[in-house]
Amino acid sequence: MSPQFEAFRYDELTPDGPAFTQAFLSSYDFDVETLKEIARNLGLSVGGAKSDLTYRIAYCDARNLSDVILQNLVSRSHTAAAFKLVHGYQLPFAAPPAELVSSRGSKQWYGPINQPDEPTATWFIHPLYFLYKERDEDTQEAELRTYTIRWHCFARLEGQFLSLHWHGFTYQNQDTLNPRSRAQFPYWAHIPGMFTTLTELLAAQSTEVKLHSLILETILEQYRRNPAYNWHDDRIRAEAGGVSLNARAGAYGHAKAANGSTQVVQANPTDLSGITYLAITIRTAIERKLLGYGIPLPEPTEFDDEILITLIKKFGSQSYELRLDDAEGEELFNAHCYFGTKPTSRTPDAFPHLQFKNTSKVSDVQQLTFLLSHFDETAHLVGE
Amino acid sequence: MTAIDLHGRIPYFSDAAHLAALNDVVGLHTRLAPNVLMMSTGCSFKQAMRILWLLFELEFAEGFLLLYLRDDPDVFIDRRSLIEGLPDFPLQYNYGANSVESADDILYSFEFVRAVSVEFLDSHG
Repeated sequence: MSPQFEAFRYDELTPDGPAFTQAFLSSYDFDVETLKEIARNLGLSVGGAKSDLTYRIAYCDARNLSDVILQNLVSRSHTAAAFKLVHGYQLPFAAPPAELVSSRGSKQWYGPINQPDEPTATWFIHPLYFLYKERDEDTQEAELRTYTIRWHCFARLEGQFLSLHWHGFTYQNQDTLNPRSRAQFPYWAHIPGMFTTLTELLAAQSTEVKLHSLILETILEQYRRNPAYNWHDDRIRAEAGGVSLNARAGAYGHAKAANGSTQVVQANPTDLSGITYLAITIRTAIERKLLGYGIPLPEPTEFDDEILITLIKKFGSQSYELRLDDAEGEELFNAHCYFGTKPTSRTPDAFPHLQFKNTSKVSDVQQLTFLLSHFDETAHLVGE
Repeated sequence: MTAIDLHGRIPYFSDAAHLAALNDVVGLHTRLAPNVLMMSTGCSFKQAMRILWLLFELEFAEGFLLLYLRDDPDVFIDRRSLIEGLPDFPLQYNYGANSVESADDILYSFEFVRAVSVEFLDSHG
């Protein structure tokens, strides 16, 4: 059984109207929980399979159908975000977003969309369209199926922050059309341009935020050694002196049990996660060598931490994945932070952004709000 | 140890903590790149380049141009002295096993190899 395609794709024969709405609702952009919420908002029954729900919603005659669908679409947590500071803007009226619910729409900004539970935020949506060919993964039939992918970039404007949110996805490699060869959707080729067009629409001035300073200076210094919080170094990608480092923790520690609950599967309390293990191994090697000279290493854990900080901050980090929990183990932030160190590359390193863990219970907006609550204009803006 | 007074010309490093972080990372590495300074001190690319260019200008460091593939930029494929300028294309790399046809497929960065121990000061800080 093929996994669900992680973006909205449709057959060109799909007619506009309720059939298109149902196709849209059936896509990855709406999970069952979101569909149930839409049904509740519209006063419809929430029972049945996903296909029953999508049919019931798409063919209901509620006057606020589009508004309810769009509000739930934007409020669903996204897997990635980037942000800038904007000022001097005026809220524009872009294309009517209801168009996207019942028809293909076109490549432009749609909005505003206002959320009842986010009265100070305004959302916009920009679709992009791609022709996509696919060989069936199950039957491997020779004939190719052709679809259009409509990928959505969501913009959220609140106060001085403009953030873009999106879902990354993978698809069959369009060069080889081999079902087993997957390619990542190159969002890095599109997001920076989205900032430009929306900033123009807002007639705003925008300023880059130094994500590396916000994460590696402010957040790290405030929380990493703070006993009231739990900090996890999950992945470091760095480059210095011609050496490329890519150290990541293995996936053990937390895993999905068969019943869907998350449980800790760490069997041995002395087991250590990947990057800490790397630091301890290096420290142990030095410690043993020093003992050969009759010199004991004082405070080994301080040396472990010095090695980790060197890897994280002093080796030219390109990206850093961290998880921060409060004392009760509740997640506050869990993201892979790309610092935009290769601005003209054709890779995720092209611009600063965050990739949130899709296992996180905390939404992208909640995590971004947490991060931006530490923003300091004097420290984190790209200046002279 | 050679002292370099910034005289407040890069205000970011007039801050004592930023200056200490700069001296820490410059002491740690002999091969310095803008991203190494940025991540260690929180400065911007432009501020990092001004520091590195100062080392080059004072002849405390040699400057190199690093060439990366835009599609796979984890490790540079060529490193050439800044004095040599930009490469000609097609450019062979990996001991001639691969080649790049056009500058469109390349992105550039810089590396400065420190030749002496330095300490940055800021008498205006």
